[in-house]
Amino acid sequence: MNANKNGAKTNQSGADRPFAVSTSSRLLLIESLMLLIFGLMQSTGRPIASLFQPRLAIVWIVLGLYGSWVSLRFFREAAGSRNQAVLLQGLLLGSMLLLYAIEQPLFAYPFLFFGILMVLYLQHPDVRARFAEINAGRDNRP
Amino acid sequence: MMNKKQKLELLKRYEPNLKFTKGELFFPTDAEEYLRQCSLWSYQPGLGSKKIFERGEIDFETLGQNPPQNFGSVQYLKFTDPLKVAQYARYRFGRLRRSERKKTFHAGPGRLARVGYSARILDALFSLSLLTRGRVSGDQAAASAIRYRGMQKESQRFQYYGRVVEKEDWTVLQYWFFYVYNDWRSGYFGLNDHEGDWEQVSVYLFKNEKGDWEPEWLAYASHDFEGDNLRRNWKDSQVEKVGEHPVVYVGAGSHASFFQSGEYLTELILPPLSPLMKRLRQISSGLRRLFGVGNRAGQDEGYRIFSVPFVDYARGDGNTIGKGQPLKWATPILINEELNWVSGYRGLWGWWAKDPVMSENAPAGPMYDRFGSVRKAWYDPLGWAGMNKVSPQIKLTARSEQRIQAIRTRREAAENSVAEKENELRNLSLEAQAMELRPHLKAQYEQHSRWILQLEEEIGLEKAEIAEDQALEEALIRFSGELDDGYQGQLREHLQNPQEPDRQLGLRFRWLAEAWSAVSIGLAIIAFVAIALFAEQYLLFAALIVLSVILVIEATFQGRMMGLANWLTGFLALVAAIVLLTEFFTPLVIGFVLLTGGYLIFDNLREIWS
Repeated sequence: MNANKNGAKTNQSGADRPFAVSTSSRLLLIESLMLLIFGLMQSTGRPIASLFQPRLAIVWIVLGLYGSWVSLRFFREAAGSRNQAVLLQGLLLGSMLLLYAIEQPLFAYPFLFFGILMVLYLQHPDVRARFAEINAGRDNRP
Repeated sequence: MMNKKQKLELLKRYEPNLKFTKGELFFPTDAEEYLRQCSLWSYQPGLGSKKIFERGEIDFETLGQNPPQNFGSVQYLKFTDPLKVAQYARYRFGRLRRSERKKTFHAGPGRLARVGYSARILDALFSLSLLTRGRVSGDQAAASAIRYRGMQKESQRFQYYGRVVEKEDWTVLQYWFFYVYNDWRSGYFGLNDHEGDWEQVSVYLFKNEKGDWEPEWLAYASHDFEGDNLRRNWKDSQVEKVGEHPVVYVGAGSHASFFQSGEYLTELILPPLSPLMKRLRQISSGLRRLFGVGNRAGQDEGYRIFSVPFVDYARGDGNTIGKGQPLKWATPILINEELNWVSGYRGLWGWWAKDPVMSENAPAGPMYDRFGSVRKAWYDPLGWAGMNKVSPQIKLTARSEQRIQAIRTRREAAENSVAEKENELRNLSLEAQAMELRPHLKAQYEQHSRWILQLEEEIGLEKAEIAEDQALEEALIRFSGELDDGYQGQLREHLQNPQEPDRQLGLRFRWLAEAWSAVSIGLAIIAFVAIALFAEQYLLFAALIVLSVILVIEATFQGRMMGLANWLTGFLALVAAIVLLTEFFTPLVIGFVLLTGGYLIFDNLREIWS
């Protein structure tokens, strides 16, 4: 474990990283890339959702970039990154549910499905235990 | 048995130092002087209230002369009369004087900022209920304060009443304090006001090998609580002492007793909600067991949701009575059942407010509760604080030896029984073997088989008991050795949900949070009504926005934004799951079945290939 300039612990070497943490971070990266791709598609002349055309593109691109950063931090087991990952799922699910409520686009369903799976996977006992340990370490530092 | 002099000496030796909160108006006083200031009344159903004794006619002698009572009748004292407007105004203005303001209590961050919304809504309902329930009038606290001040001017006297009970291995010193008024509600935003207030502190002593008294436990009464959580070990670092005198922090107005200075969140479960709360607690603990999630110490969410919070301010920054202080105790007065005023009067020691919830009615004397039944602290001073399962430290080794011997005897008897049964089992098995391939003995063979099974089961159970006894015996032997080495035991092991000073003061923007908690419920109600009146078409949407804003502000103040985000994400995931289930129920079921089938095939084939 290493400590960054804020004193938060990270696991850059990857030693004894639980399988669930590695998998979650990869899934987070896939989710972020999907958001980025959808955001870029939405920003072109042929958007995939007719409503909130420019704003939705911006939201997805920002979420995609945020997700990529979170997945990297998650992979390095940075303190607080699990909370950020949960927050990302909340934002994703919220935006997709809003779209679903307005025009029910087909692409919203896989995102909803993926979001639910991610929320469940982020509750995996190994993930919870690992980040509880990391956060406790951060809270107890002098 | 001790004589009166010995009892008084013992009481004086361990008499507590009482530390009050700045602004406290009432202190332990002479109950007989209070009686002289009271009139005695009797309420008879259908006949109303009738005065039995005028003010000045009652003392300890007359109080015990109890006339026969009918069912439903209530006897009560009346300490004050309603104040005239001018008197009340003079009292209120007097409290505003600069010299008085310095002595006045200031609440600081209050109870509402420390608790959730459900508690605040219940609190509002509780406050409204006071309008319909019987309660003491607003000026009664002022009238009592004026009269008490008059009593103190005549002779300032701080009195306690001592009771000494010798039970089993323990000698219990009960210190009873009488206050003329409990102004917790009107003075300190608490639960109730009532005339008269009896409070109690107990010290548990035992006699050591030299025949000297040694204190081992203390129990401080707090509201109507009872059980293990009330007591602390004498050696506990949380128990403050001045020499041999334990320090008691007294709750402002409520006069409840605490071991440490601070502000205590006391929660009242509203009676109509208690069955619901009990059910919720069962469900919650069942779910926690199912998912293997433990409760954090002291955490009981089911309890908190349906309870109204009140703060007991036991800051200890006001007057102190006792050893080494300018305010000293008067000579204690011994009490017991033989005194007529203690056992003969079952009525209330103050105004009967006709409150069905009882909390605004005055309490009864030291021996009785408000229903006229004997208090548990009186008839069972050990059981009241969970002391009936505790032995004095010096007797633990001997008791442990006795238990080891008893368990050893039981185990040896069980071992003999097992040996006999195993012998019998071998005989039966031999006979059964002999009967095999003998068709004419089929019935006996089957009977033997049943006996064998039954015996095997019995032997199995007895062997398990022997193993348990063996483990227990080993533990007791080890414990006995530790006691010999001077082990004192875990001093706080008995505490399941102890009253601790509320440390949840990590509010951000403290005063703003306090102001917000005071107005938030009212604002939310006004906002919902305004939406319903002026923007009916957006009712649901606008209500959701208002609710979200309130939740976010609240979470920000309490530093729980991440908790809220987690909770909202879970909620959105649930909504998303419902959406997917509604839209794709059939494909999802088919997909799930296909996946299950595929997984089973994969798993079985993997076993074959491996």
